[in-house]
Amino acid sequence: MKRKIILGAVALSALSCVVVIGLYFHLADRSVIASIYVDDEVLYQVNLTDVTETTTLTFGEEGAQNVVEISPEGIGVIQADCPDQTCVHQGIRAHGPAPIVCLPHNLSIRFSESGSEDVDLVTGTGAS
Amino acid sequence: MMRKWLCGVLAALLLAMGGCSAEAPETESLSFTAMDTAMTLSATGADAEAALSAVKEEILRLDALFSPVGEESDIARLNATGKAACSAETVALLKDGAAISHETEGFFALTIAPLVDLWGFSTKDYRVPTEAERVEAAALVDDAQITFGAGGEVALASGAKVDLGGIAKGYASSRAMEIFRAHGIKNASGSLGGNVQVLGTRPDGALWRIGITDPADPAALCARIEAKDTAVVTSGGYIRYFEADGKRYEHILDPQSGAPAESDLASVSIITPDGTLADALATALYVMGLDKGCAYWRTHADDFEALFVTTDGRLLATAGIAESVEPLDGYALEVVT
Repeated sequence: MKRKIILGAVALSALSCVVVIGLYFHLADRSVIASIYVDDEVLYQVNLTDVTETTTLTFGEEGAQNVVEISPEGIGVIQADCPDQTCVHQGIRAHGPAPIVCLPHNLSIRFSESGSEDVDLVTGTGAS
Repeated sequence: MMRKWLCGVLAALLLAMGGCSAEAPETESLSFTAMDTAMTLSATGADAEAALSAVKEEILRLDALFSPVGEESDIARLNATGKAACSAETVALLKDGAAISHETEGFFALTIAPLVDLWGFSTKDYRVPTEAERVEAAALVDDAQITFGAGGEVALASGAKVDLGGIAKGYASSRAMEIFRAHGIKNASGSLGGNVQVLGTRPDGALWRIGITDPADPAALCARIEAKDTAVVTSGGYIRYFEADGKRYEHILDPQSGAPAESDLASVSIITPDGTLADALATALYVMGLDKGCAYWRTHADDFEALFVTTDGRLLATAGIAESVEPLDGYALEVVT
């Protein structure tokens, strides 16, 4: 009887370890890397899960300029001198999969992991 | 007995761990710009890389063929002279568009170009036209005036111009799925500027999870749809608009009034395997508004399903898709029957 209890305890411990390790790696995988591309080159990368302060970055020269804000809430274009302002209207995002795109300036913000919404694709990001 | 049970548990754990490390099928992705928007395609399978390359080539070809500008464009030539010999593919797409226009009683219009130009949405040189200008341009919007002759000849009424912006991406996404199939790909997806189309299921066999942008907060989602082998296209005025004198003017124009559509809808998503139909109906039902949109669905329920978000925050799904929709972000789901 005692042996059975010990064997049961060992099995439960093994199962618990697997669950805890699995959860650890699952949560660790939740980090969201945002990459800012200009002309298809990565100019800046940030792990959004590590951001604690708000910073702004300016890309391009006047006439082809985007101001990107990175904050604990996410990342987005808060100012642009492009004519359509589509990138600004896309808001501040904390995760993908939909990228933020400024076509006139060939700037995009892409996410390496879709984050917590559990979707594969997003419709309506350009709103036909 | 206990030993057998313990062995069973350990074996299951080992199998599970082994399963985690098993090689997943090869998935490739490709991003590029075409049709004035950003596109991302993914495919899983041995021939995925070649398939993606072929799809990109096809979309760039279609972009050149349907663009409002450019020497290779059938549409640019047609608009420039009002009459042109077009490729069989362009003629077929124009006929499809004209048929949808007829079926929706003009809420979708191929000949919307004069209005799009008038408001500056084509050049991004935005302005609010006078009422007289709007009435004049709206009078040119009439898809019944497109005539099709022999040898691919297409003719427009005087002053009329066509714009395939309302269906070209949808057509391109359906073509993409055909090319994936021809390459033996069973699991693929495409987002053509937010026009989504999926082939088969996800590589793991589960349904694709497609997020619907929340029109009240375009950085968030209002719903998630689980689906396979379908296009999901959303229309709304919350991304592309300009502001003048404190008023927002959205890019989806009402062919009848000549002004930006002002309905009780914030967005419409159409779910159907036909990307062209999805693209056109998303625009048409957005302009119609909720009541007319639901009535249209009731008479065409075999062709498509729809998800409506109203300006006062209601989320409504047609009966055929409702069970696959999960509301998010505080939305509650109503079912249209």
